[in-house]
Amino acid sequence: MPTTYVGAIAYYQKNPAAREIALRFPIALSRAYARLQKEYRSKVVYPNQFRKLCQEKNLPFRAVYAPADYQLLKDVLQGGSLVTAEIRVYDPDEEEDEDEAKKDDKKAESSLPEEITAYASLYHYNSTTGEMHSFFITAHPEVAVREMVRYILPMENGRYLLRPIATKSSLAILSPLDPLSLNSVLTYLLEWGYDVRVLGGNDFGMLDLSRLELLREIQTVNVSYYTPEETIVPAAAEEREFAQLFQEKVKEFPQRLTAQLRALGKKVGAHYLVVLQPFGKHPFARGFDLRRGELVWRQDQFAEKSDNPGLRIAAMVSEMQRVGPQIAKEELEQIVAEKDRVSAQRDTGGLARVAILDFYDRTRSPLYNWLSVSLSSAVNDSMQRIFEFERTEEKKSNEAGAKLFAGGKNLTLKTLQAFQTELDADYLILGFYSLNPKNGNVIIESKVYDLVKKKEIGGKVLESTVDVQLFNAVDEIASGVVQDILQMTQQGK
Amino acid sequence: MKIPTLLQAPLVAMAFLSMSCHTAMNKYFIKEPVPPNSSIGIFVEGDSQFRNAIFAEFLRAGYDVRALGAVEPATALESPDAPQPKKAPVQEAKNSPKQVLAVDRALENVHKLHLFSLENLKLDQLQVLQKKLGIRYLVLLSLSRWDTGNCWARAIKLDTMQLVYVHNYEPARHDDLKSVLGMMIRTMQSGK
Repeated sequence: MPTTYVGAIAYYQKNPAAREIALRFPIALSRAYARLQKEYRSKVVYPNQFRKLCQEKNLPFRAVYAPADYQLLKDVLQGGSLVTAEIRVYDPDEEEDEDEAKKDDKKAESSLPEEITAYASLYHYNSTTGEMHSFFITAHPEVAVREMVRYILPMENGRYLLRPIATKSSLAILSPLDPLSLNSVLTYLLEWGYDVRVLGGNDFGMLDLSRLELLREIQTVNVSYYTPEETIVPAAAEEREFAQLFQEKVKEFPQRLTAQLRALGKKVGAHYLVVLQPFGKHPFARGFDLRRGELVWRQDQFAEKSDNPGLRIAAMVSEMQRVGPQIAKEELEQIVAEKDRVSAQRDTGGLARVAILDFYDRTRSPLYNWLSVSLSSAVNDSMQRIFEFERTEEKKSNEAGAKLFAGGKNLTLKTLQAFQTELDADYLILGFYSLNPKNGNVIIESKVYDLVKKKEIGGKVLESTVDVQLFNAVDEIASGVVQDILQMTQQGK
Repeated sequence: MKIPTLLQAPLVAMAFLSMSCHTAMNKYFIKEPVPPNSSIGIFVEGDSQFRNAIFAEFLRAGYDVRALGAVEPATALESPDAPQPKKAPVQEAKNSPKQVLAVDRALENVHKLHLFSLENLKLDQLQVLQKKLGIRYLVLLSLSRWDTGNCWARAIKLDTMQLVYVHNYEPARHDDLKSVLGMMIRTMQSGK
């Protein structure tokens, strides 16, 4: 089974909705893959495991990589794919220190939304083919995770089809064919039942193959397909002309292309535009949804091995109809919302009992007392959102932990066994934090134990500066615990 | 997979693109007939005499013919100076590799946008034909090489931009220009 590694998901910590999306997305993706037909399933490696792999190999762990980084990551990915993301949530109610008049002016000038909106940039890298897809999703935070999964799920080796272009759809076609051959293709599509609209076939000309080749890599507002490149950041003041060129022709290109596609769609009355290039060693097909101005189909590999262009086009038409890995929106919503049941390992058949202890403060400073409860609360909150389980009584658990574990220094088989007996718990989550004497950073370590099987099943060590990043670190620790337990429950299935 | 019925002489039909295909061919598809009293615009290649002969046949068939000339919309719009895809000139001394990369990408994007804006312009032209000249169907015909076996036709219903008639025909020994054209007109009108 292929592997999809979910890497760094960067988000602006201030907004809890962004944090929620970052927590839920890898979990929802994993569940969605598990629901697909066997040939489309993928094993998901969660961010904390991927981070560990990167740390072991001294590789960067970030949301946006340079091309050279992807080359280095190939060793870790071993033919699998890597998904990373950046998430921002815009909440108009959180705009600070602006009076209403200024806010209205700002909204009128710009295209700022009027209600809370999540923006997610997703990056999918296939380490076997070196191909990169990116997605830019705009959605209400409540459905952002569903949309992120919906866009990523249809990814296959050599093909991406967001939705089949079914017969009876209205479509237009661009293909570098002579008029006689184009007629044959148009007839073929009409016979399939497509409502064919004429685009690029209302003349005697033949589309230049070299110009069509430009469409092999394409960036539309929501979906892009390209080979990773160096990030270009122009901008010294003396390079104003260059910066302007870059802004208009590169940064704004997806929006301009999307506008062109939508205009085409309105004029020709077609829902889809398909680009079919059947010639040479590297034929390709692209499909655009003209209503949304987005790329919905990308295919560079076809079962038809003959180099006969007619047979290739027949294969392309067949492929654009073939349903790939997809899950209906309603089912995806359920997948996102559902909780994993963590079952008790005893014979009671009930929910697992999980002890979550306040983290032990080893800083020897009163400044960080608050972290102890903050960490355990964050872990509990994250767990409650994803799992069904029973938390052991907090006071009793902390008292037992204080008695047995000596601030986390006495975590032995014997003390864990004693804890398990006293609390009748299946799992234990605890941790501690200290200060790095060299730089004053806070080092947080979490540990997750399966008390019945008597083994450590997860944990994480994070170092954070003592500023707003500390809140990110708390969230990461909590997410890491959730991912460890998910990994454990999924391996057990 | 359900194969369209007309292709059940299967993919030999799709070998149309082979230059060596010489089998006699009469392949057409009619979504809806083009009624005889319709207002049609005709794009056809050839000199004036040739085009006049074509128009005359359509007039005789009862169509309200608007002659649009021999210039196809693409030719009218496509200027000899239309940008061809190329790389940016590299001024290595002046520009950093990243700047060269950015200019290359910008040029590529310009070409991509040009491709679609050209299609948009062609469609705008067709809408002018419909609105200003009252043309209901646009008929494209290529008959200038009828004697060497290359004839084709298309008809587009301009108010919906739907393709309603497509025809590839390889003339038989007994055919002449009139019979080929007559056959195409009959097919367009009757749907058979």
